[in-house]
Amino acid sequence: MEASYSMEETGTVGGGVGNNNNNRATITSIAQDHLLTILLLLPSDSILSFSMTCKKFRALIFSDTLWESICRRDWGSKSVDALKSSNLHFQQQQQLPWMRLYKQVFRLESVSCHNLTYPDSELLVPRPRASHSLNFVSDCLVLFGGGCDGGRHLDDTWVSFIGKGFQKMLKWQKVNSGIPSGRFGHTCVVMGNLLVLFGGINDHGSRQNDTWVGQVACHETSVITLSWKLLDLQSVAPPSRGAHAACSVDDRLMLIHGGIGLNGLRLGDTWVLEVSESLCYGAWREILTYPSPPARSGHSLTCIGGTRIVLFGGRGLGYEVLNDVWVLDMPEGYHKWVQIPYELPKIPEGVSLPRVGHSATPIVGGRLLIHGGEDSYRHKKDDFWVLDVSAIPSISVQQPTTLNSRGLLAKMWKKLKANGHKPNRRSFHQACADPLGCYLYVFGGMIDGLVQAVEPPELRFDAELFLVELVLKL
Amino acid sequence: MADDGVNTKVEAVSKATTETIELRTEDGGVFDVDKPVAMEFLILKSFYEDEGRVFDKTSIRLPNVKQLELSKVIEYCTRALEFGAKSAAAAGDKDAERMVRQEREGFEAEFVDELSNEMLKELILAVNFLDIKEMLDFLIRSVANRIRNRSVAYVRQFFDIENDFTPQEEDQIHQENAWAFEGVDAD
Repeated sequence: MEASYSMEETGTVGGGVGNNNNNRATITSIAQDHLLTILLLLPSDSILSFSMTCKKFRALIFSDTLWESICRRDWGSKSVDALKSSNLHFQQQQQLPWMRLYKQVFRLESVSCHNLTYPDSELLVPRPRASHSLNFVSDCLVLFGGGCDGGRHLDDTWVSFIGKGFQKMLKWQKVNSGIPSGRFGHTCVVMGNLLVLFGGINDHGSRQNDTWVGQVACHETSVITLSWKLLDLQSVAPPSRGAHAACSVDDRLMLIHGGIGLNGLRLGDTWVLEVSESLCYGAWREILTYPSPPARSGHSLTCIGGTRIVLFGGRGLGYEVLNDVWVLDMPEGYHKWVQIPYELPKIPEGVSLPRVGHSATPIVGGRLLIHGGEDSYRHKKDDFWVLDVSAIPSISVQQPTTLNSRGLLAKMWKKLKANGHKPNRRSFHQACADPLGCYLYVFGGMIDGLVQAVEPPELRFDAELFLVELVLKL
Repeated sequence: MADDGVNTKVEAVSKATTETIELRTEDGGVFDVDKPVAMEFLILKSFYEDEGRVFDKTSIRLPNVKQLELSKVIEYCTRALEFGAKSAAAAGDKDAERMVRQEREGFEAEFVDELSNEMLKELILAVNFLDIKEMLDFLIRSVANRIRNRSVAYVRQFFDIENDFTPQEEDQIHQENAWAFEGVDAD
């Protein structure tokens, strides 16, 4: 009573390419059916190699819908969505030319600087300072605190409305003073529409560990207010510190590392803050992993899309100026710091990389733009570097390696040319990017004194505000 | 005729009470496959479930599949089901979940390492015919690994693609695309 069946001959019927007489699927038709899946696992050069195989595949691969997915993969959804909404706002075009955009971002090699400082002394502007905080939140630029001459701290909050386009003229408004208490060497990050401020040191030398949240409110056209309030902590706060590094992760968490603690010693701990939905409560917890970046201050922590954080430079325990790069991946519940070794001599002008008091800002394309800072001789810099860590595979198991393993570290560091306005060499300034990641606002910092070759070197604070525009060209 | 080695292996895995289906490949191979594994082949699953057939001991001929491919498919699907069960058992325990994931990755890496390009392609065609989504996804990912950073000629050869560009056209598109290859050594 055993029946016998035979499965039908037909498999998946693919498109016109390469089907044989039996109507059975061929490897070519399967490649077509699964093209997007395959391409999303390949680096851009391999994708283009595929497009050069024949006319059909070239047509399939030269599609802006496909390249939007690739942009999303390499730059992050936030960047792509910001570009889309900005496009809708200005041009109402059907679709952005994603393949061309990808190429422009990929080939970034220069920036253009514009001076935004008013020569008009009638307008109220923030005084010169360093180790302040500067953030782009709710369409506004927000500046708080910092240190000025005589080692005094500042406690003023300034806001400038920027809106959706980049502007060549900025108007500052002073919106607050006294709260939070004056400090410098604190950090302030943006979490959605919220500012989260932590730590810092005041001019009595007291280091802080209080956590503040700030919200900007724009009333009518030019009335802006900012309310700061102390965050109610549900757990122990990290030890007090200044000159630490911080970044926001995924708009719900804030990560901090290192800094100079209560007894003047440099720290090497990593902590995460989670803020409640109501914005009233926060909980800190320490991340203990081994290995982890050694103790340091004046370094940078930057989140480049999703949950990947990059730490760079700073000054270590032995007072030496560092250039090491560490990456922290934070997929659900699992954290691991990984150092990315690279050889300085192999990088053109790499000898200038070690620095402290620099700024590291995330820009479009999932990379960091590093500017300024000072070296071990306290020589300040005015250079622009792009740091690209996409070559390093994520520890998250789902992530494929999309970069050329041969050129694994070849594209890690790239020095950019700078056109236009020449800013002063500076350190301990602050920089922040607009939501598109195409423009950087830079303010303040310490610049070289007017009298050269004086020991000890003269400390001079700056109040220059300038704009750095990424030059994206075909 | 049946590959006795594989047949024995399959039978050893199945317990006395597990139902099996007999599958016959186009080159004469005969396999007794556990029902849970066989149901991973959607072509079989829909044959039984959608058509409301009674699952009795029947013999099914698979015209587009050879015995070497089928034995590999059975191997993968059996292990995939095991990993699925282990994963479910480890649910909630992050460390255990990670261990299962790593074990699975280790198996998958070894599995695909042993396959030549030709074998990989034949497997894809077989799995596509049998309609096993999870395994197809895995094989497609492996294909991406094989062609990553390879030359245009290599990709053409892998997918049996005929070049219909003229030499001038090829030169031109090569130049247009040069930007993505800056700083990369020629393959």
